[in-house]
Amino acid sequence: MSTPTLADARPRARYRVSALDYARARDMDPFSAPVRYRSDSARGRDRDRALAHARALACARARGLRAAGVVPSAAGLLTFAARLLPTADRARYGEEYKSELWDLARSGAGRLRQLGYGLRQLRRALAAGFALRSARRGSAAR
Amino acid sequence: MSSEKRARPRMTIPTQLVLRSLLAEPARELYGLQICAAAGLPSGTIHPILARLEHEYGWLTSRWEDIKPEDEGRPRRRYYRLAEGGAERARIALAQAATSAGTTIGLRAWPVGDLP
Repeated sequence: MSTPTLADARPRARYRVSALDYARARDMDPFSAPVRYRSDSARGRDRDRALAHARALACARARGLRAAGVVPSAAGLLTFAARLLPTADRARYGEEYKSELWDLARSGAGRLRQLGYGLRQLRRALAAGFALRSARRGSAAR
Repeated sequence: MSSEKRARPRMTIPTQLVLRSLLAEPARELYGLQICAAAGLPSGTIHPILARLEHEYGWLTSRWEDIKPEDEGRPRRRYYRLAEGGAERARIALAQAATSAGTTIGLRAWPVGDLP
Protein backbone atom coordinates (compact mmCIF):
# COMPACT_ATOMS: atom_id res chain seq x y z
CA MET A 1 0.00 0.00 0.00
CA SER A 2 1.37 3.40 -0.94
CA THR A 3 1.92 6.07 1.70
CA PRO A 4 -0.88 8.65 1.68
CA THR A 5 0.32 12.10 0.63
CA LEU A 6 -1.04 15.51 1.49
CA ALA A 7 -2.48 15.71 -2.03
CA ASP A 8 -4.52 12.53 -1.32
CA ALA A 9 -5.46 13.60 2.16
CA ARG A 10 -7.06 16.92 1.16
CA PRO A 11 -9.80 15.54 -1.11
CA ARG A 12 -10.40 12.74 1.35
CA ALA A 13 -10.85 15.19 4.24
CA ARG A 14 -13.06 17.37 2.02
CA TYR A 15 -15.20 14.35 1.18
CA ARG A 16 -15.60 13.46 4.85
CA VAL A 17 -16.69 17.01 5.73
CA SER A 18 -19.11 16.97 2.78
CA ALA A 19 -20.54 13.66 3.89
CA LEU A 20 -21.17 15.09 7.36
CA ASP A 21 -22.87 18.12 5.81
CA TYR A 22 -25.00 15.84 3.70
CA ALA A 23 -25.98 13.74 6.68
CA ARG A 24 -26.84 16.83 8.69
CA ALA A 25 -28.89 18.31 5.86
CA ARG A 26 -30.94 15.14 5.60
CA ASP A 27 -31.35 14.85 9.38
CA MET A 28 -29.37 11.65 9.41
CA ASP A 29 -27.10 10.67 12.21
CA PRO A 30 -23.62 11.11 10.72
CA PHE A 31 -22.12 8.78 13.27
CA SER A 32 -24.55 5.93 12.76
CA ALA A 33 -23.31 2.62 11.36
CA PRO A 34 -21.96 3.00 7.84
CA VAL A 35 -24.32 2.11 5.02
CA ARG A 36 -23.63 -1.24 3.35
CA TYR A 37 -23.76 -0.96 -0.42
CA ARG A 38 -24.61 -3.80 -2.75
CA SER A 39 -22.03 -2.70 -5.25
CA ASP A 40 -19.24 -0.24 -5.80
CA SER A 41 -21.34 1.62 -8.35
CA ALA A 42 -24.13 2.14 -5.76
CA ARG A 43 -21.54 3.49 -3.33
CA GLY A 44 -20.17 5.75 -6.08
CA ARG A 45 -23.63 7.08 -6.96
CA ASP A 46 -24.37 7.86 -3.30
CA ARG A 47 -21.00 9.53 -2.89
CA ASP A 48 -21.62 11.70 -6.00
CA ARG A 49 -25.06 12.68 -4.72
CA ALA A 50 -23.60 13.53 -1.30
CA LEU A 51 -20.86 15.64 -2.86
CA ALA A 52 -23.29 17.49 -5.17
CA HIS A 53 -25.61 18.19 -2.26
CA ALA A 54 -22.78 19.33 0.01
CA ARG A 55 -21.39 21.56 -2.75
CA ALA A 56 -24.82 23.16 -3.23
CA LEU A 57 -25.10 23.67 0.53
CA ALA A 58 -21.63 25.21 0.75
CA CYS A 59 -22.40 27.55 -2.18
CA ALA A 60 -25.70 28.64 -0.61
CA ARG A 61 -23.97 29.22 2.71
CA ALA A 62 -21.18 31.24 1.08
CA ARG A 63 -23.72 33.27 -0.94
CA GLY A 64 -25.67 34.02 2.26
CA LEU A 65 -22.53 35.12 4.10
CA ARG A 66 -21.36 37.27 1.18
CA ALA A 67 -24.77 38.88 0.86
CA ALA A 68 -24.71 39.79 4.55
CA GLY A 69 -21.30 41.42 4.15
CA VAL A 70 -19.45 38.89 6.27
CA VAL A 71 -15.67 39.20 6.01
CA PRO A 72 -14.35 35.74 5.00
CA SER A 73 -11.20 36.01 7.11
CA ALA A 74 -13.33 36.71 10.22
CA ALA A 75 -15.44 33.64 9.41
CA GLY A 76 -12.19 31.68 9.02
CA LEU A 77 -11.03 32.80 12.48
CA LEU A 78 -14.32 31.56 13.92
CA THR A 79 -13.95 28.19 12.20
CA PHE A 80 -10.52 27.90 13.77
CA ALA A 81 -11.87 29.02 17.18
CA ALA A 82 -14.54 26.32 17.04
CA ARG A 83 -11.87 23.72 16.32
CA LEU A 84 -10.25 24.49 19.68
CA LEU A 85 -13.41 23.36 21.47
CA PRO A 86 -14.20 19.77 22.44
CA THR A 87 -15.39 17.74 19.44
CA ALA A 88 -18.92 17.35 20.78
CA ASP A 89 -19.39 21.13 21.10
CA ARG A 90 -17.74 22.30 17.89
CA ALA A 91 -20.79 22.24 15.65
CA ARG A 92 -22.97 24.10 18.13
CA TYR A 93 -20.51 26.85 18.98
CA GLY A 94 -19.27 27.13 15.39
CA GLU A 95 -22.83 27.81 14.27
CA GLU A 96 -23.43 30.20 17.16
CA TYR A 97 -20.26 32.20 16.45
CA LYS A 98 -21.12 32.47 12.76
CA SER A 99 -24.67 33.50 13.46
CA GLU A 100 -23.35 36.33 15.65
CA LEU A 101 -20.86 37.35 12.97
CA TRP A 102 -23.73 37.43 10.49
CA ASP A 103 -25.73 39.67 12.85
CA LEU A 104 -22.71 41.92 13.31
CA ALA A 105 -22.21 42.18 9.55
CA ARG A 106 -25.89 42.93 8.99
CA SER A 107 -25.77 45.66 11.62
CA GLY A 108 -23.14 47.39 9.49
CA ALA A 109 -19.95 46.26 11.29
CA GLY A 110 -16.97 46.81 9.01
CA ARG A 111 -13.97 44.61 8.31
CA LEU A 112 -12.05 45.66 11.44
CA ARG A 113 -14.95 45.11 13.83
CA GLN A 114 -15.65 41.69 12.37
CA LEU A 115 -11.99 40.72 12.56
CA GLY A 116 -11.92 42.00 16.14
CA TYR A 117 -14.88 39.77 16.93
CA GLY A 118 -13.15 36.78 15.32
CA LEU A 119 -9.91 37.43 17.20
CA ARG A 120 -11.68 37.83 20.54
CA GLN A 121 -13.53 34.55 20.02
CA LEU A 122 -10.28 32.89 19.07
CA ARG A 123 -8.54 34.28 22.16
CA ARG A 124 -11.32 33.04 24.41
CA ALA A 125 -11.88 29.71 22.70
CA LEU A 126 -9.33 28.06 24.98
CA ALA A 127 -11.18 29.33 28.06
CA ALA A 128 -14.51 28.19 26.58
CA GLY A 129 -13.00 24.78 25.76
CA PHE A 130 -11.65 24.51 29.29
CA ALA A 131 -15.08 25.34 30.77
CA LEU A 132 -16.81 22.80 28.52
CA ARG A 133 -14.25 20.07 29.26
CA SER A 134 -14.38 20.62 33.01
CA ALA A 135 -18.20 20.55 32.94
CA ARG A 136 -18.07 17.27 31.05
CA ARG A 137 -15.51 15.85 33.50
CA GLY A 138 -17.71 16.98 36.40
CA SER A 139 -20.83 15.30 35.03
CA ALA A 140 -18.85 12.14 34.21
CA ALA A 141 -17.51 12.01 37.77
CA ARG A 142 -21.05 12.27 39.12
CA MET B 1 -30.05 18.34 37.87
CA SER B 2 -28.76 21.83 38.49
CA SER B 3 -28.53 21.06 42.23
CA GLU B 4 -25.90 18.44 41.36
CA LYS B 5 -23.71 21.08 39.74
CA ARG B 6 -20.88 22.88 41.54
CA ALA B 7 -22.07 25.56 43.93
CA ARG B 8 -20.90 28.88 42.57
CA PRO B 9 -18.74 30.26 39.76
CA ARG B 10 -15.91 32.68 40.35
CA MET B 11 -17.66 36.03 40.36
CA THR B 12 -15.38 38.05 38.11
CA ILE B 13 -16.58 41.46 36.98
CA PRO B 14 -17.60 40.19 33.48
CA THR B 15 -19.48 37.26 35.09
CA GLN B 16 -21.33 39.69 37.34
CA LEU B 17 -22.17 41.95 34.39
CA VAL B 18 -23.52 39.00 32.38
CA LEU B 19 -25.63 37.82 35.31
CA ARG B 20 -26.94 41.31 35.95
CA SER B 21 -27.96 41.73 32.32
CA LEU B 22 -29.83 38.40 32.40
CA LEU B 23 -31.42 39.21 35.76
CA ALA B 24 -32.76 42.52 34.44
CA GLU B 25 -35.54 40.51 32.77
CA PRO B 26 -35.21 36.91 33.93
CA ALA B 27 -37.99 35.59 31.71
CA ARG B 28 -36.55 37.15 28.56
CA GLU B 29 -34.30 35.18 26.25
CA LEU B 30 -31.24 36.96 24.89
CA TYR B 31 -28.68 35.91 22.29
CA GLY B 32 -24.95 36.47 22.58
CA LEU B 33 -24.70 39.91 21.02
CA GLN B 34 -27.66 41.19 23.02
CA ILE B 35 -26.06 39.98 26.24
CA CYS B 36 -22.80 41.71 25.27
CA ALA B 37 -24.66 44.94 24.57
CA ALA B 38 -26.68 44.72 27.79
CA ALA B 39 -23.59 43.91 29.87
CA GLY B 40 -21.46 46.55 28.17
CA LEU B 41 -18.84 43.97 27.19
CA PRO B 42 -17.16 43.72 23.80
CA SER B 43 -18.73 41.21 21.42
CA GLY B 44 -16.99 37.87 21.43
CA THR B 45 -15.99 37.89 25.08
CA ILE B 46 -18.85 36.19 26.86
CA HIS B 47 -18.97 32.65 25.52
CA PRO B 48 -16.62 31.13 28.12
CA ILE B 49 -18.78 32.71 30.83
CA LEU B 50 -21.99 31.47 29.26
CA ALA B 51 -20.51 28.00 28.74
CA ARG B 52 -19.46 27.82 32.39
CA LEU B 53 -22.79 29.09 33.70
CA GLU B 54 -24.74 26.74 31.45
CA HIS B 55 -22.76 23.52 31.51
CA GLU B 56 -20.79 23.64 34.74
CA TYR B 57 -23.26 25.31 37.10
CA GLY B 58 -26.62 24.82 35.37
CA TRP B 59 -27.70 28.42 36.00
CA LEU B 60 -28.57 29.05 32.35
CA THR B 61 -30.41 27.19 29.67
CA SER B 62 -30.12 27.79 25.96
CA ARG B 63 -31.98 26.81 22.83
CA TRP B 64 -31.76 27.38 19.12
CA GLU B 65 -34.13 29.89 17.61
CA ASP B 66 -37.05 28.10 16.06
CA ILE B 67 -36.73 29.30 12.47
CA LYS B 68 -35.82 27.81 9.13
CA PRO B 69 -32.68 29.69 8.07
CA GLU B 70 -33.42 29.18 4.36
CA ASP B 71 -36.87 30.78 4.77
CA GLU B 72 -35.68 33.67 6.95
CA GLY B 73 -32.50 34.25 4.96
CA ARG B 74 -30.35 34.35 8.09
CA PRO B 75 -28.74 31.84 10.45
CA ARG B 76 -30.62 30.84 13.58
CA ARG B 77 -29.54 32.36 16.89
CA ARG B 78 -28.79 30.68 20.16
CA TYR B 79 -30.93 32.13 22.94
CA TYR B 80 -29.99 32.09 26.63
CA ARG B 81 -32.06 32.59 29.74
CA LEU B 82 -31.75 31.90 33.44
CA ALA B 83 -32.73 28.36 34.34
CA GLU B 84 -35.30 27.50 36.94
CA GLY B 85 -33.57 28.24 40.22
CA GLY B 86 -30.69 29.92 38.38
CA ALA B 87 -32.10 33.41 38.91
CA GLU B 88 -32.24 32.95 42.67
CA ARG B 89 -28.72 31.55 42.81
CA ALA B 90 -27.43 34.34 40.62
CA ARG B 91 -29.04 36.96 42.88
CA ILE B 92 -27.50 35.41 45.99
CA ALA B 93 -24.08 35.09 44.35
CA LEU B 94 -24.20 38.71 43.17
CA ALA B 95 -25.18 39.89 46.64
CA GLN B 96 -22.33 37.89 48.21
CA ALA B 97 -19.89 39.21 45.61
CA ALA B 98 -21.00 42.78 46.34
CA THR B 99 -20.57 42.20 50.08
CA SER B 100 -17.11 40.69 49.76
CA ALA B 101 -16.06 43.46 47.34
CA GLY B 102 -17.28 46.06 49.83
CA THR B 103 -15.34 44.40 52.65
CA THR B 104 -12.17 44.27 50.55
CA ILE B 105 -12.51 47.89 49.49
CA GLY B 106 -13.19 48.88 53.10
CA LEU B 107 -10.04 47.13 54.32
CA ARG B 108 -7.91 48.61 51.59
CA ALA B 109 -9.31 52.09 52.14
CA TRP B 110 -8.36 52.02 55.83
CA PRO B 111 -5.68 54.70 56.25
CA VAL B 112 -2.46 53.16 57.52
CA GLY B 113 -1.87 55.97 60.05
CA ASP B 114 -5.29 55.44 61.64
CA LEU B 115 -4.75 51.73 62.32
CA PRO B 116 -5.05 50.88 65.99
